[in-house]
Amino acid sequence: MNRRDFMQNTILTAGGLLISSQIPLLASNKKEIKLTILHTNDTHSRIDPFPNDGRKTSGLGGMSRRATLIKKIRKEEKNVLLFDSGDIFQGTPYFNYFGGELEYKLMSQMGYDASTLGNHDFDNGLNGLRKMLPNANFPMLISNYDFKNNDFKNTFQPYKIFEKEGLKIGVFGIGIEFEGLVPENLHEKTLYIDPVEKSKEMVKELTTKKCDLIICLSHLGYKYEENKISDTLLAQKVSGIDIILGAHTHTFLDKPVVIKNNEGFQTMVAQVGWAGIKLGRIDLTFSKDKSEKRYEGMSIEIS
Amino acid sequence: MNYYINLIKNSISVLFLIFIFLGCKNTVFKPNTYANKSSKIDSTIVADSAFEAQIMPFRKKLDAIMNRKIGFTKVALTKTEGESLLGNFVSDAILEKARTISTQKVDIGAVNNGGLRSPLPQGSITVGHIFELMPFENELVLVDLTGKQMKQYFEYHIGKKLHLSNTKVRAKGKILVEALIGGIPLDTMKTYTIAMSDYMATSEPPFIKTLQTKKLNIKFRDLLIYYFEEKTAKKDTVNPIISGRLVFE
Repeated sequence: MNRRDFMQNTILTAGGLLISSQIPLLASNKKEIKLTILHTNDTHSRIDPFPNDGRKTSGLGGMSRRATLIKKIRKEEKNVLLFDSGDIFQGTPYFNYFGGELEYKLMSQMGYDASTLGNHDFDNGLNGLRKMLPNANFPMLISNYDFKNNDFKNTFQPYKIFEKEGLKIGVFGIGIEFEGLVPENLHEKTLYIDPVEKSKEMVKELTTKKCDLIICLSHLGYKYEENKISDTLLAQKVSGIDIILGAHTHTFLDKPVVIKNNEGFQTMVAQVGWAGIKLGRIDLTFSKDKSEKRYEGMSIEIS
Repeated sequence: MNYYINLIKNSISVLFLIFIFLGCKNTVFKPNTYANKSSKIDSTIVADSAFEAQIMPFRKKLDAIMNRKIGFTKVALTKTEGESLLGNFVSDAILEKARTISTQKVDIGAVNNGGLRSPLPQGSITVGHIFELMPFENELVLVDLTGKQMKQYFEYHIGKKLHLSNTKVRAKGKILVEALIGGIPLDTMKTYTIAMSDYMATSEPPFIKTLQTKKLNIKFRDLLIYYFEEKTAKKDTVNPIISGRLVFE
């Protein structure tokens, strides 16, 4: 039984007279608000589609095609949010020669609303990253990196709240531990903070700010055999995150996975492989009083 | 008595009413209401022309550099589990280049499987192929290991994805049963030098981070480009084989 059913049933038995005034309140205002969330992860500088060389990924992806697809969806849907979960950089010569300039410019033109930082976004160091930021008109959200040891304190923000038809959507970023992935000379003594503690703090903050939906852009990875923190573990350990848009492990999830934790909270975890081969899409419907959310998840292959 | 029961009942109701108002925002998702509508978009997705126009000058610059042919491989160099043609080719190239650059004795070339990002197709190889294989800016370094550390290094990588040249490692389960370097059994009293990437030298096993590294001032990627170019200059081609370097039983 989910929390809502539990409350309704309890009211019916304990509520007595009051329940009669309760029902019309819940039943009224049935007008729906639809929200479409589009997402990518680990696009790894794949500006062009993969060459046709017999690889599994041959001919797939390409940012110009992604742009067409996003434009089409924007024409069909009123409320669209577009996110990336990090590792925008590194993987093709576009990054080696131009440092991420084109990646950021094209993403800005597609209308990305926010991204988080992946480990490879540090590949030219924090300075290399900052030099590219003027090309991006969207923020890099990261809540669990502390930049107090360097001068990047004001470069990034932990979260951002978006509004669509009165709906408030709180989005925060979570990055992976640097150990073995990002050498110190590139992250410049940035401190990594425990994602579980930070996420709890973010949920509290965004709930206080009356967000109707809480989304985490995570570069932790979908799941590990060992006890390493992942999106799956984060969903189990932190209640209140409605959707985790994941990355890092290049996991192709055909549809979002719903994880119910010990407290009964359900979090949807999504990830769409890598290289911009797929565009993730989650459609949510909110009734006007915001008391109900329904969702659909799908991913579209760009080929 | 009834009065108190009603009072309690009503208090509970009021509490729940408040709860509903506060709690409605935390309403959970109902997993039974979502559908998997995963759909494939085929080549009918036309690339956005404004985006293409913007990419074009960048692409042209890159094509001029990337399409240059540097050599030829008789077989496709692919990544497979354990010993692979790609792993053997890269680790051999690393050792050969390290030995020409450094004046000191180098025993082993090593590359981690994760660092090999893309296979090389059979036939002509371009600069672009090497960028796909090795996009990172990693540099070649030398690391000296005592014989004991060398043994630990091999043991740590049993069943894992590390490619080695000039070496034969055989393990049964987690036990190292044979370790030959240059055809000679590993001597725990000797010192060995491995050529590897600066990334690997800060990675695993943990003790490797504590060791001194010597930079050879060449990028992994450039080393492979030069390796192909030199083979071509000698009218040679690349043709590695699986030779039983890594045997995990």
